[in-house]
Amino acid sequence: MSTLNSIMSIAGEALQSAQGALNVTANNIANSDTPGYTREVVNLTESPTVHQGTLQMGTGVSLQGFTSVRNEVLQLQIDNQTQQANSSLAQSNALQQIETAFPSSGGIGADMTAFFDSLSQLSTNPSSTSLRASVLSNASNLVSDFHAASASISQLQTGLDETVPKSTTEINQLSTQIANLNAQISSAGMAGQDSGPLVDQRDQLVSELSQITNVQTTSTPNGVTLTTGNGTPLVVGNQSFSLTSATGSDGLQHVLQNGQDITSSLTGGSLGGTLQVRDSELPALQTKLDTLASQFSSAVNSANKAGFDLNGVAGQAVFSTAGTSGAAASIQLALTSASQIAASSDGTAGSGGNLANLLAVQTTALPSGMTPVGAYSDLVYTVGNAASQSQTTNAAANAALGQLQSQQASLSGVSVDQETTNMIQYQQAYQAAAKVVSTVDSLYQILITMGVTVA
Amino acid sequence: MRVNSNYYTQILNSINATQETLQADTLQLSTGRRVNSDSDDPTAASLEVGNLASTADAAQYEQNISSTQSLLQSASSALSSVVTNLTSAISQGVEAANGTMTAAQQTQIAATISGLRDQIIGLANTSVQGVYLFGGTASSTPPFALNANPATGVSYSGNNGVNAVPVGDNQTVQTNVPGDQIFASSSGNVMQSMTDLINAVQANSTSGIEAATGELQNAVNAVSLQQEFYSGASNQLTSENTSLQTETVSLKSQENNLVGADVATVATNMTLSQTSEQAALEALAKVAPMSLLNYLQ
Repeated sequence: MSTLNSIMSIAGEALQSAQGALNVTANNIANSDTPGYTREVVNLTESPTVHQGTLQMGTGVSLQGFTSVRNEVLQLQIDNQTQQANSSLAQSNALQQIETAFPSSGGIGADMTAFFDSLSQLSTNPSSTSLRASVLSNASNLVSDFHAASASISQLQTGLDETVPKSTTEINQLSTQIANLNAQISSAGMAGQDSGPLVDQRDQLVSELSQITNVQTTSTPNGVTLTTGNGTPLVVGNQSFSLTSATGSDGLQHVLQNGQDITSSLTGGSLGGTLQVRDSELPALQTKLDTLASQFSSAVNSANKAGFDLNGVAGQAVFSTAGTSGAAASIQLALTSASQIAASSDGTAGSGGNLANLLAVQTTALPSGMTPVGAYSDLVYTVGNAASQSQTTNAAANAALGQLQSQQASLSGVSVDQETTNMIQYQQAYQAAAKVVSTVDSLYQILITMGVTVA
Repeated sequence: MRVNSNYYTQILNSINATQETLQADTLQLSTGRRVNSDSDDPTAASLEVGNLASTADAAQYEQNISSTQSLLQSASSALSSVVTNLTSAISQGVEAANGTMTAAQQTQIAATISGLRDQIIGLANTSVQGVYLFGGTASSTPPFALNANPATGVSYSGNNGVNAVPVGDNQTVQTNVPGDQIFASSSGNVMQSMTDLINAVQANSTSGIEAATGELQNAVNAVSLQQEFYSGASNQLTSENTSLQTETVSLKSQENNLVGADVATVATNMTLSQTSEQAALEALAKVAPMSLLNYLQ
């Protein structure tokens, strides 16, 4: 049998539920622009019915709690794309810097051509002091540009290297925070509390971690487990495992965990992109540049040695390099005077016979299989192609990321219009429940004046 | 389906993308180049390296041709003066051989011929910018000198070296003929025949004079033949120059195809980008004030 008290109790639950719903609405509106915020919805269920004979009566509404509307799979995909996007962005930024050292017009290519053209000009008057001086000055320009190109590679490498310890520290900070949140979420979950904001924070931190390195996420009852590289643990439950950085035998910073070098397994995020350029692209470029410097100088040297200089003395080396590795940085002009250019093939000052040997270097393939200008052209292609590929990868990853983020926003983002509609709805529900309270109250008054004891 | 109500980000992204395109297009128009960094088109950039090298080489070949032409012309004109002098010597010889000359006249003629020989030696020692054209590669000192020691009366201190100048890819032109091949050739020895004529006139030997004028005629032929070499080389250079100019034009056009901006297309694209940017801005302006709250007051 329904009583006024039970109606009052139903109305009270209804008021509470409407208040709770309005609370969620207000919170959603307040956080509509908060990064990483996932909108919440109120969970209302019917209270259990009571049976009285054949009658079955409802006992009102019950506020079960609040749920964050999130899709974990989508979040994983976003983290994955973030790793790719940030890795390719780091690569593209770095490679764009190096592109200017290998211009298609000018640079080492133009210097080598100018050097050969001045030798070609010298053949019109092999004993001319001014034409010889021009050969020497072109050779000196070439040496400077080899130095400049090599320096820009090593400077970029150093610059990238300096970011490795910083990234390692950032990873450690994030791991610690995520482990703490895991602990909080786990204890909050047990107490049956709403852990929405905590999960939002954790997802946000995992996203930040994905910007730096590749992270694999696994959900466990104790919270997310995070690993990087080939399964190196960062966070397991409420524990975090730190990474360290140390200078390796190559003079570069390596990332370690418990003494184990995991540098080469870090491929995603800004750190992954940085390491990729530092350890793969730049060394390959440096090797090509060194090979060119070394093979070019030894070809020119042996051609010069085949002739005689202005004073009839046997030709000597034009350039000197300290070995093949580092040749571009160490190449120097070995000639001290323009008279030492061995143009002559018969020892007379007027002979330009050996210039043909020197000029042949321009059109003959070096041991690398390419002519000097061909080898430079290959460098330009290598740099341009690497930069272009990272740009393309970045554009594609960004497009995919944008798509996923839009999907996530359509699922989890706050729509102020929707919240406004909800607010009106809950407001009316609250008003109606309040009306029930005042109605029941007036019924009590009638009963009291009637002198009937309230059942 | 629930829609993403945060469309500001999307519109902003689209405006950013359009502005990036506009910026790239502006760069293309201001530089006139489609490829402004290697990554814009790695293949075109790497081909441009070779193209620019060929263009610079061609320019150098043209410069080589122009300086070589002036050398060849100096040599050629020296040789034609030698022929003139040799012809004068022949007429002097013919005059001396007619038998009616007094001893004083004979001495006079011998002195004239000797003067001609001095002029020929001067011509054989022609130099341009300190380079003696007829000394082989020993070109820093005068190759010919009057000298009583050799039978020819003139000594040659040059060598038989030749120089060549590159005038095209794998193409060179020989720029000199060693002096002894011109002036002391077995088919017509200029110096020997002049000395013989002077000696014959001084000795008043009609048969000697006739023999010497015959030798001189051979020498004229020999020098003319060598002069042919110089004019032939000069002609070769002229035609090489023409083909280099054609090559330069074609290299320039190749370069333009590789890395040049297609101005008309870029300008059209810019107009399109501007239109789409305007549309995005207008969409933002229309959408931004839209809110349910505006209708609930």
